[in-house]
Amino acid sequence: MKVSRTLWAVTSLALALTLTAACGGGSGSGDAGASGDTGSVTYAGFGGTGQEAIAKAWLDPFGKESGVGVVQDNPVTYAKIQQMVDAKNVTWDIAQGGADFGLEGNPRLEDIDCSVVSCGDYANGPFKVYKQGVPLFVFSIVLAYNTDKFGANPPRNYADFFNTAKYPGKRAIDGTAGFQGILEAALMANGVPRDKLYPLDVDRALKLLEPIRDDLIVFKDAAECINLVSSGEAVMGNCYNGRVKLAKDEGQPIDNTWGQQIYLCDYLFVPKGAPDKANAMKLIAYIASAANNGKITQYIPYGPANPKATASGTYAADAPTAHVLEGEDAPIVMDSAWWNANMEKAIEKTTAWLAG
Amino acid sequence: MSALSQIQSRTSSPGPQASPAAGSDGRAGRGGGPGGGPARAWRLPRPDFWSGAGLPGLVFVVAAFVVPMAVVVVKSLTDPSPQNYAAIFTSSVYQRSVVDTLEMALVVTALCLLIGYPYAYAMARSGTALRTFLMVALMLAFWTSLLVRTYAWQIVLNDTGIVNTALRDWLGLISAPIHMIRTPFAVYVGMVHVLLPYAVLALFAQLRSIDPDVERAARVMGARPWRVFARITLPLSLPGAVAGGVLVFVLALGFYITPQLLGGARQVYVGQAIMQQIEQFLKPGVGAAMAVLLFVAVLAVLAVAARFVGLGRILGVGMGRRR
Repeated sequence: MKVSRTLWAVTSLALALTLTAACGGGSGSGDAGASGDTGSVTYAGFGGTGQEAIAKAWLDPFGKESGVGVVQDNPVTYAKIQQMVDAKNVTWDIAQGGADFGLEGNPRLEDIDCSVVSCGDYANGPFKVYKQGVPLFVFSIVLAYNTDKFGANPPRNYADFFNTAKYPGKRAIDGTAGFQGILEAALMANGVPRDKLYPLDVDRALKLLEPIRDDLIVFKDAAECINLVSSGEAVMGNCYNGRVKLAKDEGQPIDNTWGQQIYLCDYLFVPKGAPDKANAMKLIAYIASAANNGKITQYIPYGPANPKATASGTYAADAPTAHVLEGEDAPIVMDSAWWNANMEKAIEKTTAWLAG
Repeated sequence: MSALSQIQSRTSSPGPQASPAAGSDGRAGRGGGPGGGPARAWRLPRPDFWSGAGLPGLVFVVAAFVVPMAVVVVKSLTDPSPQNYAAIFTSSVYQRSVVDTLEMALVVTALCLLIGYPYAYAMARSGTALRTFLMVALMLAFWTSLLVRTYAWQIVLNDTGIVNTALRDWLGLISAPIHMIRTPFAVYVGMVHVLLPYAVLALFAQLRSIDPDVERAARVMGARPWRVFARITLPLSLPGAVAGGVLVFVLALGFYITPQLLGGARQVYVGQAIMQQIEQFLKPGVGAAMAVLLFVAVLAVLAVAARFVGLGRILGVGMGRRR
């Protein structure tokens, strides 16, 4: 009697699990089935308006032209890629992310096939092709300010950001990534030449932040930056350029300077053991090509990473790449190798500094 | 939830459990305490219909908790090595997070008990109408999405939020905004809001189980209301306070969302430290080790509390009350 009940319960549970799994599998394979024999490639990005723009600029046209089905997923986390590869259950063919994942000798990534991808195009650009990653687009952390406070005489660069006498009020900075970019800006404002920034002297940079410690609002989520600055809670902030543009278009009292914008780049890479590596390389080649890489500005104010590509469309004039200033106001390009090696230590130090 | 089941068991069996002697029965039920009843023998239940019906639940608990927990323990020791535990103790971020987390959990627990006690007392001693109102008011907050409540606190506590705007622009009491958001204060407010129902329900169940005749007897004997409370009600309700306090404390230790949204970058709590290891430093092994230590800490708190009031009371299964 007891055994039969147990059996019954286990059987029904197994049945329920199978059904759930079947339903889950069905929805995933639907897109791929439509593409026929040419295969399908899964692109994982960060979702939201960014991924919508990527889809419109590159993924959809590529699917139409090549006949390869493109399946989208999000959000990318490095931890997830790690687990996928370690469990040998990789579902993503292409993932989007930063150089901070380690794109030179990462055992969890495939090498980029430069016979398919036009790697040579990037030789003179600010962001190089890594052994395992191809630059996707350029965005930046800009010095945003509240236009109600400093509309007539806006701050120009980080010298003004650190000058609380001339520009009184709070400054919003990102506290999650070891003050990446801000440490560089502090050192530059103190007179360290660009080519002597690395290896970064974190302790010295933090000492330079000491005088404005009480004027800092340290946020943990990039969305907060826009709220802080446009509400006037902070008068300046280190916000992402795309979000500033969006808020500005909504009529918020916010704008940004392009002086010393902190240049960032997202890359495309292929997780080790990706199901369709060949099509992944084809899609990367399509996105990275000089002909196509500039199309992103039709949908979002991010600039092409391929220096040979031309930005086109609605946001061409709002992309960071359209505002590369000269001299001391030129973009700050971070040394990702240094940051990859030292991020943990920098976070330890900045967290301790914040608490102290 | 645990306290709810206590309420139900209370309403279904209004027996004379709350004489002063029975007040310690939560303790006496634990295997052979001093002067307690016969020690309960632990033996497996005979297989019957109900143990069969409980099987899917058991399978779920094993699949959804025991297996993942085992994976976490294994990961903490093998990814890449038990060295993970050493890494924790050399991390100044983690050490600071432990101190900050303990402080936060203690403050939140104290606040929940201080605010929750009068509320539970009013609920236990009021008529049906008021009690229903108080209960619904409490549960409405309980049922509202955690995220909605937390974001609402952001709006309330911002420098340009409701509180500061009211104080500055409408009442003219302050000239510069009081900083509340991104401070421990905001975390306390948000967490007390989330965790208060647990404390109130545990206290309510205990207060309801006190026989009103005991208080009446004290009054008849001439004790003033304050004395009745201090000598009769408060001591008899202490097991409920311990149960509610432990529940709140344990839940607070692992909180992530509320501190993340309301707290500042100056405080990193354990939940955030674990997240940082896994997501940012890509060291799932170290994160797993931190999670194991947190789990051990929770078990330790439960073990200590169980010595005072019985584990069943904290978990809400009423083991101590069965006869």
